[in-house]
Amino acid sequence: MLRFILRRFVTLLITMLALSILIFGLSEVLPIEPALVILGRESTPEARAALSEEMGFNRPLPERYVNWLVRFISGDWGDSYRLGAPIQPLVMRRLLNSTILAALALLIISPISLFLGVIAGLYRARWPDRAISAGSLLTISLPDFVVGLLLIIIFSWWLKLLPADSSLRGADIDLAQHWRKLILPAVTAAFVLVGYITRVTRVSMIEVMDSPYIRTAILKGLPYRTVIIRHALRNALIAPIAIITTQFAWLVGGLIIIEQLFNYPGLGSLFADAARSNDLPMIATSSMITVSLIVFSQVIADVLYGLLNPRIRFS
Amino acid sequence: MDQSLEPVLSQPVIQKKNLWQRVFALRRNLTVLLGASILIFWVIIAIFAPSIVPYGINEMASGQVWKSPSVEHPFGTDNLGRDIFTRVLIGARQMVVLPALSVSLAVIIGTSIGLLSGYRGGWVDEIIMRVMDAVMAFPVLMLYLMIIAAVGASVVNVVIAVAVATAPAISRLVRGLVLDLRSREFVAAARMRGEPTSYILFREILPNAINPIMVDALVRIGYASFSISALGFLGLGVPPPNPDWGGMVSEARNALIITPTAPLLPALAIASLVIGFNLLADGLSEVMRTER
Repeated sequence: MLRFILRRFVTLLITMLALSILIFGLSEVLPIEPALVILGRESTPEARAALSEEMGFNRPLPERYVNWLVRFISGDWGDSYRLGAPIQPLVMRRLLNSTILAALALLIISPISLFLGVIAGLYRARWPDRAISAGSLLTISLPDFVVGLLLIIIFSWWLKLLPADSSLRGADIDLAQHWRKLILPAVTAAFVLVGYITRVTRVSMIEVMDSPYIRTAILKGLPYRTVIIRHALRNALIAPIAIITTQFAWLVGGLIIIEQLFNYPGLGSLFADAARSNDLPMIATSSMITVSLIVFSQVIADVLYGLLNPRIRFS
Repeated sequence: MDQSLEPVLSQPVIQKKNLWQRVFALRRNLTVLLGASILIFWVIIAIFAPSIVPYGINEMASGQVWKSPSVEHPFGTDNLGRDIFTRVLIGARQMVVLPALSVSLAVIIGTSIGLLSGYRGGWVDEIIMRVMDAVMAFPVLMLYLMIIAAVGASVVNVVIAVAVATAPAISRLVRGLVLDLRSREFVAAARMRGEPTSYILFREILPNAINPIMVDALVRIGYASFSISALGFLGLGVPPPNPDWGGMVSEARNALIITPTAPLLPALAIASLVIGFNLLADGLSEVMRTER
């Protein structure tokens, strides 16, 4: 098991290295002249050339990549072109905001989708399954900004229960004060994922219920309830739980649209702003952070899957 | 032993139906029918939009900003007094064409990579798949935004961005299918006949992998239409003056208090298109499962 974990972490490092090259490469391809973004269009060509030299943009490519990577790992992420301020505190604050939103969404998703998935799997091809499967197909098909928009129209415009705008006006997030602003974005994010995890749970449940050991347990004369709770659920929930772990990171980085729609100051809206304004260091940093989180959570999910699944644990 | 023979023996001898008969038989599947109807509806709208619409896409009615639906403007007007009904209908044109175009491109790229990677195997396969994994580790939207930021927002670039971001997943699927197919007898037979690799790949393996690739492509066209409108929503999609559903939603987002229909109607148009593709793909894969 230890070797399994170790091996996963080695591949994690290799993947991260590949990703850092990819991100560095992409930001190299960008037809953006950093000095122009910083100094503005009225600046003289001489001043821009001097700044480029000073910032080391005339150095050879591999050297710049290594410098960039070393600085990134040591936590020195540089200044934003657009804001002229250090990136690190800003990214960390946005990351916290997005994490809280993602955690809230998962808190809503997990119980609902696991329950519905198990029910659909147990009543396979009968009406509860048909209803749940059709419902989850619908939620998967609905784009997140459509769901968010509908929720805003219902709960803010019509019922006037919750705010349509989730901006924090530059303040640090405070759950006691801001919880009302978090509800609609979190429900929107949950809505989009609930269908997917329900489907995974359903398939996993069906597979387990078809397996020989469940047939044995039933034929042995165990009560149906015991078979489901003691034997089936334990194995059927392994895959969905591992997938929920990976989805956490996807949520943190995938909230771009939802954060934009609700004006919520998260990592996703920070990235979108950076992409729109050619803010290179911000694009590189926020994408590196997001992708690291995702790859890391996949490893965690793999390890979790291994720990929960006896067939892998003992091999 | 018994188990491995079971699927072969239980397979009924069916006469091969031609393509048209098979397509026609699909009408009995409700999911397929519903999905196809939605898509056909939008295709018809896209074709005839220019002759249906009551106004020009950029025709501004003075003093008619953010009006709720009325007889003159069935869907209301936007921030510049433009007719939203007209813009939704004309906007259907690019939403019908662009997603299909970008996924076709992605299928060509992804299938080529998957065929090569799966058939060659070894270190070629290893390197290609690690690169694909790295690309797939990105949240899709983040990848689009980086590509669009790199090359600028235009119709061609949006198509390319979506194709590049979609291709890795397709190459993975194709590679898996090839790994399964290349060990089959008919491939070994072709190899022993001395057929060239290109013949084996395109005449022996590809035809047997085409069905799952097509169903997968349908789902991806649904995603692509969502992604293209998401790019528009973030202000990095197809640039004006062409009306873009995603862009219309984000422009009208803050006018929601005045007229909620202004963002809602283009949003519902996007939703119906994505649902149409998903229903069709879901129904088709169900039919394929039962046919086999």
